[in-house]
Amino acid sequence: MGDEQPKEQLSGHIQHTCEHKPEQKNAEIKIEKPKLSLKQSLIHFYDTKYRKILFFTLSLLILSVFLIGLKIAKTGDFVEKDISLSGGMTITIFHEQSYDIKELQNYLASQFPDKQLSIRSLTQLGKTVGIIVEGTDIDSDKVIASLGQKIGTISAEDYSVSMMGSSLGNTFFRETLKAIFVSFMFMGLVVFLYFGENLKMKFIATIATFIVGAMIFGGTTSIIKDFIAYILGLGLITLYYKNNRPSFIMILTVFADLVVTLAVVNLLGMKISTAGIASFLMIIGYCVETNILLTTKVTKKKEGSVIERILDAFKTGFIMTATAVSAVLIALVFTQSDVIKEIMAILLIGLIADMIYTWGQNVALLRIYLEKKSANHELHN
Amino acid sequence: MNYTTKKMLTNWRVILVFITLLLAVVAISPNPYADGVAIRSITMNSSASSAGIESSKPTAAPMTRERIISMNNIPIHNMSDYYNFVDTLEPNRTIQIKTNKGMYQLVTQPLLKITILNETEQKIINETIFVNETINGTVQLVEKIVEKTIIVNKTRSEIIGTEDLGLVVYDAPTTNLRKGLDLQGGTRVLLAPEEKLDSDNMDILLENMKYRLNVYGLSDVVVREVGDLSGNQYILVEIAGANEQEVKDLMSKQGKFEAKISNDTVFKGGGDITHVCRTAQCSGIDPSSGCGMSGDLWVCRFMFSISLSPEAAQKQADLTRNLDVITENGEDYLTEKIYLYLDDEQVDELNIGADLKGRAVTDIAISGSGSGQTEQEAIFNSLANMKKLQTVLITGSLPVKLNIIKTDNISPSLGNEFVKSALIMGLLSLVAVLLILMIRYRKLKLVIPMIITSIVESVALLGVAAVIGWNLDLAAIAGIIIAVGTGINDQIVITDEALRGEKSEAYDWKKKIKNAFFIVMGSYFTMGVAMIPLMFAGAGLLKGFALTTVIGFSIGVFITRPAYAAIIELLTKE
Repeated sequence: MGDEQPKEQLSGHIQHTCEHKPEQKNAEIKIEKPKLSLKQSLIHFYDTKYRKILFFTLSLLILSVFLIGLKIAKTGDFVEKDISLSGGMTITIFHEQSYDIKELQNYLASQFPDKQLSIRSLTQLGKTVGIIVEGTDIDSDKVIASLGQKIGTISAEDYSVSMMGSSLGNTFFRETLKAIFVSFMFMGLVVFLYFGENLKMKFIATIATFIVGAMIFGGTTSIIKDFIAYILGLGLITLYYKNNRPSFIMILTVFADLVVTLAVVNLLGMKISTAGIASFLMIIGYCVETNILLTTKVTKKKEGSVIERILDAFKTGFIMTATAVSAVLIALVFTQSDVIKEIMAILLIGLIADMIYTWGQNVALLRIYLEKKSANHELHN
Repeated sequence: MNYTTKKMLTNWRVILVFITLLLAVVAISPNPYADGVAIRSITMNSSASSAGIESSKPTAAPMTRERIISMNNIPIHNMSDYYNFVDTLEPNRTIQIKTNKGMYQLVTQPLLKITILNETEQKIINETIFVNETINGTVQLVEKIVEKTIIVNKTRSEIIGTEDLGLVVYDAPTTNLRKGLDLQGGTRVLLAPEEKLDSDNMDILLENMKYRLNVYGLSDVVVREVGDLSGNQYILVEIAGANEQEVKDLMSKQGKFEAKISNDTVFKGGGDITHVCRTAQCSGIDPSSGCGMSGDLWVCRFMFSISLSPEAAQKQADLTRNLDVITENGEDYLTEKIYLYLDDEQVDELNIGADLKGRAVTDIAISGSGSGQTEQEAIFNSLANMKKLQTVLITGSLPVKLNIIKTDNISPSLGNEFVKSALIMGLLSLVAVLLILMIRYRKLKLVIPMIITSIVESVALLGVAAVIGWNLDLAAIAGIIIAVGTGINDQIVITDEALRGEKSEAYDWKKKIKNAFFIVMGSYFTMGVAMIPLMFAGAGLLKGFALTTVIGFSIGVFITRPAYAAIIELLTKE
């Protein structure tokens, strides 16, 4: 494979520099810099400017947290819930003709002046294939009958109606958030068991994680119990931080991926449904995989320099994400289902965030950790 | 066959994949040539049920359903053949139905319209009364049947068509995969009981609910309990294939039926009622009052007769004994009316004829009404109301009141569209993935096994779904996508590890595989544990997603991935 040639050259001289202090390395590379191809300069940037990349990803994370905080302050909730979570009725009518959505909206507003009804078109490959009407506290039959007068009779075969009670929506949302929290804790535990070295701590972490799970899920729910579980969760994360930094870095990366995705979803004005929550779990899955790949290659292997190992992992991880993105894009374009569209859109944002956070933040933090470790090592020697 | 291929095919991991694939195909048992229409359900008291055709259980595998192949030797290939044949049917004829399981003789029943004439006629009927008799020196209440002559209006029945055969059919399924409601259309209702039920009462509730829907005429229903992490109880009802919005209120009704005279209960639904008439002779639109305009709506009254238990009849006799008789419009009535309540809400009030005073009558008529914009609509609605009331009277009341908290009515045609576009989507995604992998690896030899592995994984996953009777819905499809996506990722890890330092002696194969599987297993365990909490949360709304993902991952990690690694080993060593 011809394209590996330049990288080998580059890593050749890094090998004896990178293990030492970064300042020295910078100086050395600058001296022999004369002609670098685009690829080489990119790799060079990636190799040397990781602190800048880290600054960028951390700023993005803080900005996202800030945006989400703003959202909570404004609306009292950190996401825009759609009808399936907040309660209400959705009518999907399949009717292949183009509509003047504004006109229909005005028509419905005049027919049901005291109700909140929203209407939008359903598209597939840019073509309108139907309309979606959403509203709360209204009889779907009346809406369909009145729409039928406007756009022609709608047969029972051609529409779907969903009604969600607001109490169920709330319970579902609360419970799924708790489930995501527990999932996250279990994920953290597995990562720690995988990469951690202290057997006693592993034992303690396992017991503590199961206690967290039992507290959230077992018996009657109480705020105090939940609160203790969250505190215990934070304690566990601290334990990972003290005991095995790579595990902590990975958990932080997955967390950042989720937070940034959520902030982007909010910025785009997307509403989250029950299925949207599932896509956040899918993001955890994809993100964990690339991160495990990276952390394994960087911390468990000894051969090659650090940047060599990172680039090796990147080559694999990039293809992994690229295949996922391509499949997601196809689904996003070709589906006519609103639910699948929502899942795919969130997944796409998450995959892009995963790229940035795994290969930006996780890489940078791992490198800083390894530098400190080797510096300590030298000190002891 | 060259050496490498031979070695590949005899590797036990590859053989295991073949066995899995074979089992999956057997479980799915695809038959694109399945002919005829499958029987979804049989309506009670219909021609079909008297001919002995049985409804299959809703949990039965799709391919085991009885299929109609021909009717009167005319082959039935699809739904339109079926309807074309049924439309030509005339009453009181015998038709022959051939299914894949046997032959049936059906007699079509006439659809009657009964009109009341102004002429009257004399009729002799039997009536049960209670009398005090002295037996062995003590006065006892005994039941006696007496003949009684009454004068009634003459009726005329006309045949206006053929009664529905009572068969609900759909195009014969071609695989054992169960399409969820999202894909085949139908009605899904989630109900929450108002108070917590212990497991005995929950069983009673579920049984009663199933019975109620069956009596109503729906047999292809799934009724089950679902829960969530906070200990809330829910009841999930799924009715496949049809948009049955009207059954919503049938389910949310507790069905506490009571008849009262001056605040004393005469009888209740369930035990006090021994028989509810549902045939055309004694139930239907009330001929004496019929339909009429009320304001700008049409209103129709319905009536049907029921039989009371002797105890209930006696109670009625006791309660009417001391009432006075008044005359209204030339007819004699008692001063008190009988009030009918459904779930503590008054649904009707009836005058009590003077001749019923103090008598234990077991046969009484129940009436009610329905309204609509047109006369047709009013008739339809009042008959629907009648059917619901009859159902509730037969099945009695549920242990608690239920609230509807979520309903989904999914149109069947949308589901079909969705399946088509999902298949196209899957295929195109696979092509896109193939292209990206080709750009990266540039060798079809490496890419083809990857794609085949993904396809095998999906088929195996569908096979498991067919075996455990899992419904494929949107959530499950999302699960399949993520399982296949992760599968491709794992294969990329294995391939890259295998290709690494091909020439270097430092790496032996076992170490490479160990490295790759360290990553693969890491992501498997993290995803596995991340999905488990989701199975129990929020009324099971995401259970399908979590379950499909976990099963898909497990098939991948334990069956297809090792085989893929074995193939790659042979290919790179070549």
